[in-house]
Amino acid sequence: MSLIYRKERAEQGSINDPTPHRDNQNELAGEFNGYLDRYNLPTRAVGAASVVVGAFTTVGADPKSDSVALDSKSTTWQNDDGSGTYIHNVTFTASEDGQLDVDWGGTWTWTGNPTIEATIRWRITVNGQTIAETGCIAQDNDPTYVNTKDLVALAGTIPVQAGPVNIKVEAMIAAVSWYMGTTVGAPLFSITGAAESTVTVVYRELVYLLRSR
Amino acid sequence: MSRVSIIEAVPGNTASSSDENTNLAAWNTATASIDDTNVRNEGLDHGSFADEVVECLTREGAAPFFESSTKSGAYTGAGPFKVTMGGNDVQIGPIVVNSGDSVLIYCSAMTYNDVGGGTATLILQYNPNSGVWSSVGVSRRSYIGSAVTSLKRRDYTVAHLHSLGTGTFYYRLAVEEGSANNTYVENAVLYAIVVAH
Repeated sequence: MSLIYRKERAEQGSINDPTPHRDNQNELAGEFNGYLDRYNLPTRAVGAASVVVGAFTTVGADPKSDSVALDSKSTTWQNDDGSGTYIHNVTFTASEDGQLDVDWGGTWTWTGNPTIEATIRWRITVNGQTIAETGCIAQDNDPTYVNTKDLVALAGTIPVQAGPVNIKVEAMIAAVSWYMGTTVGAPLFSITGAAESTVTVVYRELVYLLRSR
Repeated sequence: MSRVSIIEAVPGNTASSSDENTNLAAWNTATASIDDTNVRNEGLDHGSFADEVVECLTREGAAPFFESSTKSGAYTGAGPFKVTMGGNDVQIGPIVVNSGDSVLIYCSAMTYNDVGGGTATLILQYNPNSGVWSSVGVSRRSYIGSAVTSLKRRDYTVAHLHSLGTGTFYYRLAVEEGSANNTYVENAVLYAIVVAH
């Protein structure tokens, strides 16, 4: 802190020695050149205009409305339609370490009337690590209405280091067999094959906040 | 950047008015130029900052709309229709978003259509203080449930809507319904976070 402590004091009637004057100047300049802190400022002295945008939180979004037709024959995680149209595949550079919050919401359409239990799962990955994942969401299939829609929201958070950060939203479509037993620790379902229905993702939004402080 | 460079007085030398003037000029140059280079690392804490410098929160919906016995009226037709529950629009604002700020709108709601196979779509709408409501293009979440009675016609869903923008805005929740049936909304929460920095 500075501007509080006076290192030397000139006395009336004493010889005009430049040393106290020099020491005071050096003390003041030394603190000013990089050591100002909270003790130099009144409470709540720093307003919004004084702080550079993005100093504490970096906000980004990836709102999309183009159609992504997922491969109904695949039972692996999918990020695009195979032709470069992604659900979400966002990369940004974090200027410093921080906590990354990711929110995602989207709507998709089922097409088809399968005789099996067609399901879809969603997940958010950050640099390849899953931070949020849904369970299997079944198609509301029935003989009279085959084009159903559904929606979901996911949120996750993870610490990230400074550098490139990649966020993906992925989906897995598969036919499943539900495990109906009561054994603790048993899997909830098993994948039995590809879903007979197709999935098209349309309206969706990815929002991320990198909190650095 | 404002770093001050001082010409030191030396014992035994003649005091120089030009040195003194140079030093004064150095301090004058520093006026209104204090920045990061002048501040000690982590030298500022929360007490140093004014309210809402980093972010502010506007949250509405929970108290008037979060009653399990409360639901919206029935919305029939293409719409979009604003959602009203308990006599209140599910609406927040005015939200002032200054240049460089981001506004994030979050919405949680349950919706259902009283006929199986009917469409229920939640939509986020904004009003840039002009009285005209517009839909946020991608902030729409649809549900079309099964027409099979045994699978329940009353399907609950949750939507998560958010958007970015700057200016002065009102936001509200709206619904669309495309099958001339009745769409309802229950338990809506709508809130905004303005992230300044």
